[in-house]
Amino acid sequence: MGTILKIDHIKKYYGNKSCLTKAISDISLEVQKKEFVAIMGSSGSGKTTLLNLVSTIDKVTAGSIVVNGTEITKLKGNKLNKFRRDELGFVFQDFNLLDTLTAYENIALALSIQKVKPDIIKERIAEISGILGITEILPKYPYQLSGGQKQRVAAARAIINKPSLILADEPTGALDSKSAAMLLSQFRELNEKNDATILMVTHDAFSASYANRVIFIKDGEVFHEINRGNDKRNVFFNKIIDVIALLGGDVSDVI
Amino acid sequence: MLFKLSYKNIKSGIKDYVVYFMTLALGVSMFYLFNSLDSQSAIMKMNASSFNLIETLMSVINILSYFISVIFGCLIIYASRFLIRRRKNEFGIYLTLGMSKKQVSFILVGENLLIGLFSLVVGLLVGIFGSYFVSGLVAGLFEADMTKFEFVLSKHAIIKTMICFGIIFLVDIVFHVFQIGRYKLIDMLYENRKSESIKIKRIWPSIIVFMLSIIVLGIAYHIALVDCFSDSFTSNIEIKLLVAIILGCVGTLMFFWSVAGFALRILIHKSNIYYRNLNSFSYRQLSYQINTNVVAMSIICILLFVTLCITATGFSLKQDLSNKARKIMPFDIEISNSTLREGQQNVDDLLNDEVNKNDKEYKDIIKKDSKKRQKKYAFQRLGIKEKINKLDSKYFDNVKEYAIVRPISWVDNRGPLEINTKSLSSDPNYKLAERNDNRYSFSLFKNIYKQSEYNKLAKITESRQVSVKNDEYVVLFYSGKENYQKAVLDEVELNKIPICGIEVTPKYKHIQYGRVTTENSLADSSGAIIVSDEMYAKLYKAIAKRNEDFINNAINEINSKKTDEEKQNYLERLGNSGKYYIVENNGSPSYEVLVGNYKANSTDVKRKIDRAFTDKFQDKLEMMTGFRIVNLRTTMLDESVSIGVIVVFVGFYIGGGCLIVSVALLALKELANNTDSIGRYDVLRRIGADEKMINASLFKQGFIFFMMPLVIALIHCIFGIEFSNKIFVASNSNLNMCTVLVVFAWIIVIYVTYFIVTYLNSKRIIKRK
Repeated sequence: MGTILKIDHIKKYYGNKSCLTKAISDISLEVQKKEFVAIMGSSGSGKTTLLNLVSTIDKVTAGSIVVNGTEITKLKGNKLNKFRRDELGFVFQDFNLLDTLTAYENIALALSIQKVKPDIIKERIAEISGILGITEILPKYPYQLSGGQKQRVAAARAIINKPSLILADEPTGALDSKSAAMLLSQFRELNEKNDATILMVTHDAFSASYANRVIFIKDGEVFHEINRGNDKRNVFFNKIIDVIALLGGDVSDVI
Repeated sequence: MLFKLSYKNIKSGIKDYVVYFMTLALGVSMFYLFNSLDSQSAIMKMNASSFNLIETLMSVINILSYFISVIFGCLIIYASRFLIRRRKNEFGIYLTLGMSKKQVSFILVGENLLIGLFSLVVGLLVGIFGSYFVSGLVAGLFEADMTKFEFVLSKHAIIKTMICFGIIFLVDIVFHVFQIGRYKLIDMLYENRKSESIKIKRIWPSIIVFMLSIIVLGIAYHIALVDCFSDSFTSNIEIKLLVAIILGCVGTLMFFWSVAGFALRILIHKSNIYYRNLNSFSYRQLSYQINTNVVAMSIICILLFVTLCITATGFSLKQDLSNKARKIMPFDIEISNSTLREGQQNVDDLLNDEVNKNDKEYKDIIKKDSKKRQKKYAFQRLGIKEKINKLDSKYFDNVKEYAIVRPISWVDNRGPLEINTKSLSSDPNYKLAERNDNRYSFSLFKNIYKQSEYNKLAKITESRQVSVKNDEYVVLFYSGKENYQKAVLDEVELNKIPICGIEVTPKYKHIQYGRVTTENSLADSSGAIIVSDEMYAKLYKAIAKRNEDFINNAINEINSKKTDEEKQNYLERLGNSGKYYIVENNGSPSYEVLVGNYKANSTDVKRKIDRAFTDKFQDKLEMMTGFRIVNLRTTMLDESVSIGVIVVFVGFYIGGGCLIVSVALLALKELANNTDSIGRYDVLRRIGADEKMINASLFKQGFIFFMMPLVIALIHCIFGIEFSNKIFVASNSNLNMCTVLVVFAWIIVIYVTYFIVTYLNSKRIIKRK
């Protein structure tokens, strides 16, 4: 198993000398291939900043991030876009689907900007939509879909180009619990059957319990990490809850 | 403090205001330019020659100005509504900070005032400098001899512009203060978060409507180009054209309603194109944009059509008028008395004398009057040249060359040429006088010309020369109505005809194309029969003899009556029977035309001679002899130039106004749309589309959005211009394609400028995060 993501002593500061905010003071971590990693932390812990840095939306102040052998902190311009296109897949809390396009076209767009041929696009979408159970809703527009369906379409869009790393930012944040559970089990399935590597940011223990490994962040530093090992999901969930209690999160963070 | 905020807002947001500002400034400069026309030296110069050109032009422009300011007012309100909508959030923040709505309004008023003032100043400057160039253009276009350009500043135009746009700004400000007052704080703050649910049209109805729209447009074109001209010029061409226009508008509306869906359907099938880069996004976005702006796009398209047609045909019409004036006036002056039958007067006198010869009182009067009468007769018998010389002996000093024709007019019970013209009568406009025997005849052909006289005149008027021998005759005919002329030339067969007992034979089997004088005179519409000099003399003698016989006969009749009453009755009956008419040519040929060229070459000198003529003795000449000036080259040129000036300026004013309004509307729609789509572009960036792709998509969308109404308008215009062309052809002129293209090029320059500005602005809008 190779390393997909290697984060090495990164720092991210905002502001100037007189008023410095350390969003990330020092974080190092690695994600292996075929891993499903959740990053947890309360708001302000730096987890979103971390995701932004990995997704190249933001730049590090110091340190290095290597994704699939590429040092991304040095990338610029079109290379950066190409990297984002080819190596990363995104799932956002608010779906970020284009409301003027059908579900099919939304998914296809991720491939067509990579200049993939229409025939191959068709094949790939058929394959992915089968896995995510969205074949029926492909010709529909986002406004005709439920939140869960939207998020599955977004997930399909994220993984359609077989990225080396899927970044998910609170993917269940806007879903009801049933849709959330469905989505997460599909994430798991993708991880197990399709060998997708997923890095998910969440503040929700339930979501995190679907992952193989959970990394806790507090005040811009890695606070703790736990492996699921062979635990059942509910056991793992309890372990996570324990850590959260240690973390000093309040009850609202737990459920 | 608040004003400072306004100033800073504008300074930082200046780029948002570009389209707004550009439109305002263009509007102001156009307004100034047209309203200052009367003080431009080129036009002033023209006025020296052209009657009340300026008054007419300026009164038309004045009316148009009101119309245009109302339209601009609406546009400006729309434009700043868009700007406010973009900044609702900002105003919301001001309100949460504790400002009152009044203060927020004050900021807005300040901003509007600054932008308004700025664009007013810039627009006026552009207008003033623009008018300088327009002066040159005008001088070139309208053949005004401009020796020097003067820099003029029209105070009244500046004031008028300021007042008009001042009112527009004021209305705009009031409207916005009202608007701000109506907003709720929550809407202002959360405007951006409200996700609008978009509805996407079903595709099948689009396809059906699209087909229908093509059919409707086809019918409209067909009506305009074929039906309107089908049975020559029938009277209801206006109604047909109106139907065509209405159908055209409906078709355009249907087209824009359905085109997006239809095109999308096709594109989706072409997956190689549709699923390339951001194409699927671009097309969907575009179709959404078109579908939500159906009415606006149709209106824009129709406005553009109006712009294109008016400017193109107006300009061509002007060009055409000048060319025509030059072509049909190859000589300086034409004088004729074709309208007065003075011969009759003599017969009248003669017969009256006979009737009343026993009346002593009458005799006394006659005796007293006889010297005067003799003088009158003598004067009447003189040729036109002598007559003019009597009035102004120096007049002919100015004339380099001249020619006179004195056709004998011969009208018997029937004209000399009686032709079965039933075939020509299908056209109701040209139905000829109906005769009892159910035949139509050309009583029109009644003027018999002497060959040598005619040829001399033809040389000056640059018409065709004719040669006839012995008893031959040639008939020339010309009509402004082409189809009528064609029918006459082709369908009428000529035979031997007796004129006053003398038979003449046709040289050609058909009537020939040819004209004696210019369009304005009566001579032409009646055609011309040309015979050899000898035959002319013979006919003249015969007719004179016949007339004499007629009079002698009448005198005998009178003498045979016993009572005065009977005599009087006879005379009255004779008068009523119209038989005097036949005797018209007693004495000298009463119908004369003189054409001549002046020695002078410059138009100004010619104009002076003409002025002197018209001012001094035109009235006297007409009163005493019935001769009047039919055409003066200078007058004709001036007239056509004036009409041309008015047509072109009015055309440009309306056309320019429509163009700016429609293109500004397009730009605003596009900007508003892109503002609404900021979020979508962010999504594109997140899924890895690079800026190049996004910009390309933006460009493509804008380009198609801008081009669509223009292309449709151009297609409409092809048919519209074809229509005008047909009208022009019918009136024997033509549309100058070169000028049409030049006008189109200018329109496209303005169009493209707006497009580029909009594109750059949109790029900025979607980048902002």
